[in-house]
Amino acid sequence: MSSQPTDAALVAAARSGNDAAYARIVDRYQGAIRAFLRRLSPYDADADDLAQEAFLTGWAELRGLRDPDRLKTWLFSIAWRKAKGQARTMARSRQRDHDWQAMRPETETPQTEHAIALRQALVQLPPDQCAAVSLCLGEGWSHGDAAKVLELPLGTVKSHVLRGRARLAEILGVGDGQD
Amino acid sequence: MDKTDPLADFFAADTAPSVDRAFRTGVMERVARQRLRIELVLRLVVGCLLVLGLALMSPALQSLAGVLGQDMSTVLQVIAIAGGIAFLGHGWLTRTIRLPRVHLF
Repeated sequence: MSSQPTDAALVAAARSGNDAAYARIVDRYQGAIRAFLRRLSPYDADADDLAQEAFLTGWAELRGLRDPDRLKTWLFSIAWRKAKGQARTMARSRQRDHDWQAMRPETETPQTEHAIALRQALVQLPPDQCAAVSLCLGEGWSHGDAAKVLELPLGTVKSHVLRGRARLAEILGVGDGQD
Repeated sequence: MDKTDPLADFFAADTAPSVDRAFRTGVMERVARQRLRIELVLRLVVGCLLVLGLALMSPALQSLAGVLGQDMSTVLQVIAIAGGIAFLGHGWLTRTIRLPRVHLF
């Protein structure tokens, strides 16, 4: 049986300059963070670039992490801040990007019909609602943890998830599972 | 999420690779570049402080050299140059990023 090091152990090793430990942190959370950011960004390549930036910021600010057991929440907070920053930048340069994005290969879009439909539906949600739905429905987070990541009141997150779920179900043409 | 949730299938279909080595390599490359930038800035600051310190101390050093005479003045210059080389050598030996080797021949 192989024992996996805890987040706290990896953080301690990474803080002491052990790059292999930080690489393991990246491996441990890259899937979840990339999936989260891909749902917030129109293109996977942009989301992955943002995820790399989030991990780089995580490395640079690792000493500021007070509770290493909250590493996952902390990394998602960084990713969410990056996503919000990128959304503002993209809003300013949307017209400039439009032509470029139209030329990008289709391999950057999700492959399955379900995934394509979900992305198209998520785009129609406001960013905060989309993020809350992605965390709570996509990643299985509790409302409390999602509220910490998104820096929103708990009630707001619950409302976002409820409304987002109903909106997604409506767009996708399925029941919202709340009956 | 509840497995009976009709949205579960949609979210299950929309995942990213759990472990992607290319992604990890990309992150660690950025980390290495960032570390190099930090090291260069720190060494630049230390180097500037050394030069500033020597400039501030130069009147005292010149008077000391005058007292010690020409021979000892030369010795002091050799020691200063050796110190500078030692500083650069320490930076080279303790670097944390691999630089490409230069083949002169």
